[in-house]
Amino acid sequence: MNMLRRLLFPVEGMSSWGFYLRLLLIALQLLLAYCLAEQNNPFFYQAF
Amino acid sequence: MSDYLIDLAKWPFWMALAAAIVLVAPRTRDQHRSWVYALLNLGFIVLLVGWRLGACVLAGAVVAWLLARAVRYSPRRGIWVALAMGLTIGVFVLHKRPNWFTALRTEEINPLLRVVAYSYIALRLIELYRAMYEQRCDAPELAAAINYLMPFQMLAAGPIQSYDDFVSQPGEPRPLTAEVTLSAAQRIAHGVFKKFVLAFAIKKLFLTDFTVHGVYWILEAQMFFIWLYLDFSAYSDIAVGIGRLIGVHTPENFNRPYFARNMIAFWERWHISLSLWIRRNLFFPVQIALLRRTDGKRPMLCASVGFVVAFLLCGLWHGIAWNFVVWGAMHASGLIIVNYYRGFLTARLGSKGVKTYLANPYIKAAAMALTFEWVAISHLTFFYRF
Repeated sequence: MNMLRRLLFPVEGMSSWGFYLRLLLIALQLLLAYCLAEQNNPFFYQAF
Repeated sequence: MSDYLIDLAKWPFWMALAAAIVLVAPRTRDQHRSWVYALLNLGFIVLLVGWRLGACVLAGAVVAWLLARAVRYSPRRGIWVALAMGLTIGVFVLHKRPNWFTALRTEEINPLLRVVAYSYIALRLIELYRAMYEQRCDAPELAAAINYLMPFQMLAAGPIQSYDDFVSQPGEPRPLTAEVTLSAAQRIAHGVFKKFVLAFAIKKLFLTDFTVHGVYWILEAQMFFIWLYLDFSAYSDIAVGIGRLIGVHTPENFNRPYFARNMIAFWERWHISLSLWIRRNLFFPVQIALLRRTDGKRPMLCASVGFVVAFLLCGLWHGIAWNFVVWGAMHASGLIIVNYYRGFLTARLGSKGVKTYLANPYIKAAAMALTFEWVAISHLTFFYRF
């Protein structure tokens, strides 16, 4: 829990806006991927 | 059984990741870390294929581990390595050409080999047996062998970690910091976004599996190459990100391949782990053996033969069929042409002149476009059976 809480605060050496922008980008990418994810869509190189 | 697949749109993969974060990542100084990770890797396979076939995978891993020990410590290492390599290649041929083995009634084994992506495991096995035969390191413990051969995050499509790289990792990984967690999460998010949004969009909008002919066929060849990069590098991004999260080194597989200005540079940037495997295990041994035979008098010819042998076998790794041989021949010929062209340029312009020539932005752009097209055309062989 402590680890999770720590993850929500900017890491050392990074501006807070940069940190939250990164978090926002991660959340956005994951959300879009979740909405569009299609089952049985293997990676091409899995065929080899 | 044929429906079993490592599918990132389903829960087993992400459940394995969650379990790894909870059980493996915090164990930085724990002597049981290797076993916990091994059990997790096996558990992931059991989730995919069930207990019975999961037990078959464990049995296969135990056989591979015993063979590795025999190759390393037996006085008859030559016989054991021949047996181990023969078995690895035999199962590989069974995996690629199940119709050649119908008499063996291997209907259940073939889908299992497909699920665990045996092509990648076979390359890791060859690395392991070679390292044991050359006595470069001690034989691994069973848990380490399982972790090397079938790590869940690299199971579906690599990267193919070298055995030397695997054993050179420190026993105690660095503790997970907030900075590492953030960069790992970013890498994983980037990977799933590439796969499920960007690659998905390109596939839906442009790709027809080359069923449309005419001018569109040329456009599709370009789009397929872009899609393939997004699709394949997405998996590598996810694997590298997971590796960072759980403290398991996962090698990089791509480095902006579209910026490659020739085929040699391309293979330094595309599917890097396979490229390095080919270099270590096929190209260099062939090239060095030939250089010794010719007393180093024909270096270009030796390199050319090395390229041909390495890439024909690399083609056959993709599939035992003529279209993959053509794929390998195209890549080998591209590499040979680049090698000779470099020699020709140096002889004609001198090393200083070559530097000026290569710095020309128009030449650079043309070389990058030519490399892109050569690779894009080579991928057409995946769709045409000869």
